[in-house]
Amino acid sequence: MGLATSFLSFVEGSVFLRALVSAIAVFIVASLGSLIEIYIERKLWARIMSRYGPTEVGRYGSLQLFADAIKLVVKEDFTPLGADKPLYNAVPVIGVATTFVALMVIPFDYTLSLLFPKSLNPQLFVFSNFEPSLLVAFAFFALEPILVLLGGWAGGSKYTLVGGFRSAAQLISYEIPIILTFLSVVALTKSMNIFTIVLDQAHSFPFALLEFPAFILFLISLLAELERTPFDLTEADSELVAGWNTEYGGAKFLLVYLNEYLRAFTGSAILVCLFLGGWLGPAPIPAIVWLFLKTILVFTLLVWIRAAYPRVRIDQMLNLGWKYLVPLSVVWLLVTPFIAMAALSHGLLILR
Amino acid sequence: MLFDTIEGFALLVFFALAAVVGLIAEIIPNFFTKKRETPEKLMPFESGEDPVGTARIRFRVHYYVFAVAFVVFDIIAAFAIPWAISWNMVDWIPVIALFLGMLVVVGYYALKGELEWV
Repeated sequence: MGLATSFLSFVEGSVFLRALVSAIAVFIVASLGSLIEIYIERKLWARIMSRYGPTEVGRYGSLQLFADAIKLVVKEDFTPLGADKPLYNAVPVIGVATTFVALMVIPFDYTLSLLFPKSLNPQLFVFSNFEPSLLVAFAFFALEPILVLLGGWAGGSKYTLVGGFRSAAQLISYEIPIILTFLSVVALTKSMNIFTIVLDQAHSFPFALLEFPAFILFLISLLAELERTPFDLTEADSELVAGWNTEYGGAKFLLVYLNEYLRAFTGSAILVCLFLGGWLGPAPIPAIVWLFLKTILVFTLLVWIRAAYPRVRIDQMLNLGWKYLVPLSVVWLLVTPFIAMAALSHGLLILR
Repeated sequence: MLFDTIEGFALLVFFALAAVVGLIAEIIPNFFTKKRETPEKLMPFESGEDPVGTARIRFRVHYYVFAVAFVVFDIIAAFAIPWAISWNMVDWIPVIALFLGMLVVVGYYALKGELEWV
């Protein structure tokens, strides 16, 4: 006990060690979330399509993911001749790193420190509670089109280049509606801190009810930002093979894949914090469980949508983004202050 | 500046941790495998055909149109951020004028057919 206490006080003494403890804790949570997501994706999607999905490795195929990861990591590491070597090898690493920074502002570290009220001081171990945290999250979330373009160009194949341009066009088309819809939540709470936004939902409804159109618009834009069906135009087997990551293999493909699911996890977590009450919930179970469970449930909804809907063509996708989502989100953003005033005067919205 | 604050520093630590994990994942295969590079393996994948010419081909100009549209909208979204935080304290007219102007310009080009993907 004495050793643990002295170790903890040593950690508390240094900003770097505190940040490292938080980062490792969030990394474990996020990796666990991504693993569960991939399992849900493969199993539930298979069940909806009347298949079994993974069954052989481990009970109910639960160890299949680890088998796949080990297989990918021990594959030969090579760079195709046409590729730009430094850029080609750097893009997967930078992708994972930027996505992980976007994950920092989700209050996972706060909910984790609530589990240890005696030993971990939220004042010292929480780094997600600062003013423009939502903006920081989207700043790093929105770096993806640049990385996709770089990766597609560096791959040195025609499929990767065309796939990269197509991905980037899709990502930037849906960036605007996603910014404008999260701004309508900001207009409701007058804060850009995810913390305050979650706490404002404690005494009023979750914003999914007060801001229902914004919730739907955000969900659609998020589907496109995460490149999931019905907007998974980048993976077109018969025309573009696997899109911008066609040339990636082995451990680099593992990183690209991990980045995809980390992004899905981050996006679902942002959606949960903005619209579904974050770590708050009616039953007295730990806050981290609520946040994690809600995030996984939102992801399950995305998988369900993937299984249930056919994919769109690229012109339909761009039309939907520019001609419907952008004007609708602008109109809803301008309506939001009136909603906020009405809700404040009727006691439906209680700000801190 | 963001990086002078404690959150900014934590942001750098988070970035560094994920980058180190990624680098380790890229280095691990070199301990388990031997390089056996053949010309066929190093060739770009083009569905079994021999690649013709450079991979950095020309691309459609439509992507450029959408990129410019994105920049315009993004600037307007950036102007909307301070308004969204303090709409009860600031004048609404500039923001509404900006949005209306944007919708008129984009609507004009959309009706003209410039935003069609053909």
